[in-house]
Amino acid sequence: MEPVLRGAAMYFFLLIVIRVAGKRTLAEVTTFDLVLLLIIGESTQQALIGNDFSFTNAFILIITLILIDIGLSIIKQRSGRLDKWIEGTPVIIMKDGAPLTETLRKARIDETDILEAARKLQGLERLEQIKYAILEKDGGITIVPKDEYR
Amino acid sequence: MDIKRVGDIEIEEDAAYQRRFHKAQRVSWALMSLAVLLALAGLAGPGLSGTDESESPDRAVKTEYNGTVFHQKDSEMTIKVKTSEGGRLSVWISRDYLESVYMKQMLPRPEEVIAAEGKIYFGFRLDGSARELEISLYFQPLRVGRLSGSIGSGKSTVEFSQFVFP
Repeated sequence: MEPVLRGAAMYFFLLIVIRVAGKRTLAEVTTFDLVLLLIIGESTQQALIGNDFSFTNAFILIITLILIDIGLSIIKQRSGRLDKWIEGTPVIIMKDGAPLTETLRKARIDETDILEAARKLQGLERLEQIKYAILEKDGGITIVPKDEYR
Repeated sequence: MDIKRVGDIEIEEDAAYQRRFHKAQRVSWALMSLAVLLALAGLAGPGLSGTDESESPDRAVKTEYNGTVFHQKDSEMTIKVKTSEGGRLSVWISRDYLESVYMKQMLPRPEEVIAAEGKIYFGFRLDGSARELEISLYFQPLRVGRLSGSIGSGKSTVEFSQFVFP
């Protein structure tokens, strides 16, 4: 029973902590973020398996985590409300070339992030060429250029 | 998921949800900060607050331990016993406590161990001039939650309790 409880507790703990950390925290993965993720993975592994290095323990843990993930995806599909809280929603952060400053502040991103996405994804040069910038659920920024710049 | 039309774009944006989530996020950050502060203060394992102490009313038995420990993680406890005469000294630890921990080592090693009802007695031989014995216990808690115990020698008893985090 213990591996199942450990697995479930760690799954929901990570789900909550990573969710409240914010979209941009894990979407903008720098070299240091990668190291941080490895450290989190290492800490999680020790808490999950404890002193039990048996094949059975690993087997039960993996099944537990996969089953919770499947269960949660089914629940999310049926409940839009839960889906919103777990996955979040996309947010418009720029409209007609004007950044929505309050939304940007809450999302902890700035105009340079939007410009970077605009350059990378659409080859745009200026903010005024952007019709919409959207912070997606996964933390990525989508750029919709104005009609004349498409 | 409700898809709305905002300007020319169809999107499942929800401003009311965003506001609620933002508040929940700030509260979560505060709670995480509090957890870190509590850990630093020693309320979630050994921290800046140091170790706890319990002493018998006559000050003959004293124990130093961590009030918060972790499940299956090495921990240490010190027992100091004063005696008016040298020679043999017997110290007991409550059986319930010993059954809840994995005792890795006791230093110095007792000469004899006697099981009695609810207690385990450990016998030590003292040098003729020695009037105090310091015993170090190295153990790992085997269950999570409140762990209470008592230690005694002669008529002196000291109670203590630890909280074992998962």
